[in-house]
Amino acid sequence: MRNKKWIALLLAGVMTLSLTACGAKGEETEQTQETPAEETESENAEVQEAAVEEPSGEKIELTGMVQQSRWYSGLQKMVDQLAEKENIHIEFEVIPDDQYDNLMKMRLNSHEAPDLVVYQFADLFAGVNPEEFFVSLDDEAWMSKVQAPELTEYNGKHYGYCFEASNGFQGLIYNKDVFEANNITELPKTLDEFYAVCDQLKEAGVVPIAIPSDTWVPQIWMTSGMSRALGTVEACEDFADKILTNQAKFNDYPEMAAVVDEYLDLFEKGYVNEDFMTVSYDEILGRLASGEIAMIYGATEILTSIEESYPDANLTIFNPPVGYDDRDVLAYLPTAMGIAVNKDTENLDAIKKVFDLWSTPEYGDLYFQSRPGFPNIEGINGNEEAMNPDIPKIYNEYMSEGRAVAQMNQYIDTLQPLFGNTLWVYFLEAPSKGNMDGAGVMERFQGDVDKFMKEKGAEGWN
Amino acid sequence: MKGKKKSIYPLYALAPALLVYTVFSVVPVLISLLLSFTDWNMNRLFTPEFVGAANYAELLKDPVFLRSIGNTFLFAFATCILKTGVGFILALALVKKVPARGILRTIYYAPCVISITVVGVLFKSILANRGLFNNVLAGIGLEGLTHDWLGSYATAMGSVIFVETWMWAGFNMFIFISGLQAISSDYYESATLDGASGFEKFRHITLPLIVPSMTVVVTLSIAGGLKVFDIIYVLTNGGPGFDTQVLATYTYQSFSLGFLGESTAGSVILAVIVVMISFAMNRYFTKREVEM
Repeated sequence: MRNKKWIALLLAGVMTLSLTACGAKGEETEQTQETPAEETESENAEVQEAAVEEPSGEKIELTGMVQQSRWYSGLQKMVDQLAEKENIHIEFEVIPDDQYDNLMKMRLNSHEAPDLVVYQFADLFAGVNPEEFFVSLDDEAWMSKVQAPELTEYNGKHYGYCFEASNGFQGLIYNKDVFEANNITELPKTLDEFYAVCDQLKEAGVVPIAIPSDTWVPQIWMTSGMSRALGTVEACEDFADKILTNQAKFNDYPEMAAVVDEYLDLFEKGYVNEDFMTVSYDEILGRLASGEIAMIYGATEILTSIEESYPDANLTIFNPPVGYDDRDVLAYLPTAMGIAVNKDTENLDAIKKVFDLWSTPEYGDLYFQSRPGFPNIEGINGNEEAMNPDIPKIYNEYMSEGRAVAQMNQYIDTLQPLFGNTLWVYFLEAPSKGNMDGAGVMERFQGDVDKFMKEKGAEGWN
Repeated sequence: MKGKKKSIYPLYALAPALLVYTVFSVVPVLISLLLSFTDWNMNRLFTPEFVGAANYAELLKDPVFLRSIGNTFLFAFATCILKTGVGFILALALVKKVPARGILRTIYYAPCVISITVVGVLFKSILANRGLFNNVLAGIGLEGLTHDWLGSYATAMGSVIFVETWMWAGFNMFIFISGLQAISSDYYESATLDGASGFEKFRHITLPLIVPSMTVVVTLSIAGGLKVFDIIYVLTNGGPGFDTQVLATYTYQSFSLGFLGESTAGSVILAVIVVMISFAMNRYFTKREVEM
């Protein structure tokens, strides 16, 4: 009994000490940062503040929201430097991707959004009306240096600051070492050659193609393929216009079903990892880097991310041959991450100053230090020397020959809310259950589109 | 005398609680009910129009919604039976003076205090194709039983039910233990003197007198099971495909699409189901409670 008392006293003492230590640490943090760093315990949102040293001058505090997957280290460095040198502190709320769209719309509609809204441009305009919620930035000096103004353009005005001019293009990322180890020296140029490569890899015990359960990855086959199947920008625009105004259905275009069918063939032929319904994207990347898996359909920004995580892996990208694209067209991503300014902000002058600073090499270069890319602002170094040399080579080749179309998601981005919730799920459900072919998938999605567009009150649907 | 008692707790003392409850519970429920009959969505956030029962009709036409209802019932009843059964067995075992009783009780109770996100990450890796469970099976020569537990339609729901049971059986155990401890030992001593066997004592003393605890456990379990969202969300996110979709995840998805009216209608249906079943179960067990 007496021992128990002593143990209880001891535990109480330890607890008191640890609480005191926590308090002391908190005080220390406050002293060094002045602004208390808030960190909610919510699993759905994480608040991070970048503030290191306090330079002279009046302290300015801004707020922002950013998707978890886009909270890049480059952006964090820019935020840190801003706090350090200019005493401008941006508190970004980092929100899980799947909750971001709704939170953003709810906050904008209820006028509770932060000063800065980070999103993919021009996808942003499919979800919210920029004229209603965002500040036009046409009069800013840095606008004259913007390389891809169309990204932020809406009805002739520009509503954002984009870091990159483009997210590159889509293609098959492959492990060069695996190809070399299996004596694959030439990249396949026809679908049959591609299947032969897959067979060869499969026989050697290598899984040819990786598909993770994260639905945004397998959908790249289709968003890329559908545009490639239509072949030209005009055909894609015409298709999207008819689909979105209810003048045509997806299955009026047999090419759409053919794209899905060819993707489903990969599963039937046994080229895909068996655990595609549960394995995570991160684990798949590890398998690709280790050579256990040979290829994954992705995009140049994904290749850059993998190279950042696995610097020793020997990876590159190519545009794979498909049965529905005789012209060998490249699907590119006319999108880029950027920031829109909330119309309700009371800190517009400070925000304009931030963009002025970020458009200089002193800040802008930071964004590309660990993620080479195509800068949107002239004079900023995209760190291209660190970029995989195949990326600019392929990009320039297809672009100069006019054999490039934007991915299909771009053309039908009005339907964006449906993608992750329905269509992309079908792309995994179909091979797993075997309950739908390409036409079946498109027919089911058409039902979702009909419902969504009617609910939206879109032209041609009511 | 009566008047004096009343003056100790004047009615106006209820006002703060009633006000808070009304503002944060009753009013939102009533507003939800009204909005479920409108075309409220992201584009008409402040201008919803009355559409009658269209949202309900739309929901009842959707095979995924109907499947969600089936899955919700399956999950609720399966987990209720398992959590109650396992919790009761654990309580019977650990109410006795067995060695390390306190430690064992803590171990069985511990899962329910772990964050659901941690549980999700933990079991996703345990049940993964190359996870701990399959490795153990392979290690003991049962490679033929290895399976992608969360990726297969046959086992995903079973896995989620198992994890939910693992989490909450220990919590129920404690409710049962407190119920068992409240049963006077006089009954058992008297029964022993009358020559009753162990099973007879269990059947005629323990079971009838544990019913009040059973009422609490079953009502909480069934209501929790019908409202389930988090464990499904973190383990399968309603997949594979839509096979483990339940009412709450369906409603969430509908909300994600911006169909706020339809989503609210789904919530109303869920609320009605929860209230009806919880009330019926509670009433059934309360009737069988024995005064101690």
